[in-house]
Amino acid sequence: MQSLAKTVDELQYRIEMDLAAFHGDMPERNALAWHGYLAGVFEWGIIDLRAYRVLRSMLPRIAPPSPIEVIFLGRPDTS
Amino acid sequence: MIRTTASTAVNLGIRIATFPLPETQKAVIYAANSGPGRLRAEPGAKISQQEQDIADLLVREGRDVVARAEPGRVHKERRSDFFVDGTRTELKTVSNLTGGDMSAGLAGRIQSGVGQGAHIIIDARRQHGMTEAIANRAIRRAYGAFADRGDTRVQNIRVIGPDFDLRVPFNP
Repeated sequence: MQSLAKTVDELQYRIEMDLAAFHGDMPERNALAWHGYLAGVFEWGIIDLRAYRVLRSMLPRIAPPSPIEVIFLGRPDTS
Repeated sequence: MIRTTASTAVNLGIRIATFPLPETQKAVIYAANSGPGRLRAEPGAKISQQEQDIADLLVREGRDVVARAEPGRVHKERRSDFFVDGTRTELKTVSNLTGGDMSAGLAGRIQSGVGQGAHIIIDARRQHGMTEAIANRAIRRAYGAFADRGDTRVQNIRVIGPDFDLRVPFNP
């Protein structure tokens, strides 16, 4: 398995490339995809919390309410 | 709810310390039978049986646990604040999580402790099906949600399971 540092470097590079493609003005739909992607690799242990926070800080913020938080915490059981 | 009294201490199998009560805190002081750990409870502090179970474990670890009574709220049904080794700590228990997403249930329990202490301790020893992997992912899900909204209030999460003891700091 690839080391954490290499994984983080690769993800950082890919985000930078995507940001560059939009001249630094990434649309929210693309940012949402990245936020969800990073949340997944963080939750399942591919990257650690420090890396997750660094990588997500590279992305444009998502207007609240964040769907990422709902995915992390789950929806309340209404049954 | 347990109202902390000397008789409670006897029932818990811990002795009342003989050292003088600090004037500033007016605390009733209980101590472990051996080691430096102790549980101090301010008069009027209310501790649930679940909180007591965790506090007993912490005392056996040698920790200084203080159950505080909120000023002006001692007669209401409000849980006490706990300080563990001087850090405000939220003590919680899970034992009835069901469904196909146990890590979400545990993450939600962690979430419910936000704002009540920099440290959160969850007693999951009686939660059927709880594993270290599930607890680890629940902590990640909680920290992920906190990071998502820029919330840094929780600095440490500990989950005590049937066969594991997991401690994860927010800033490793």
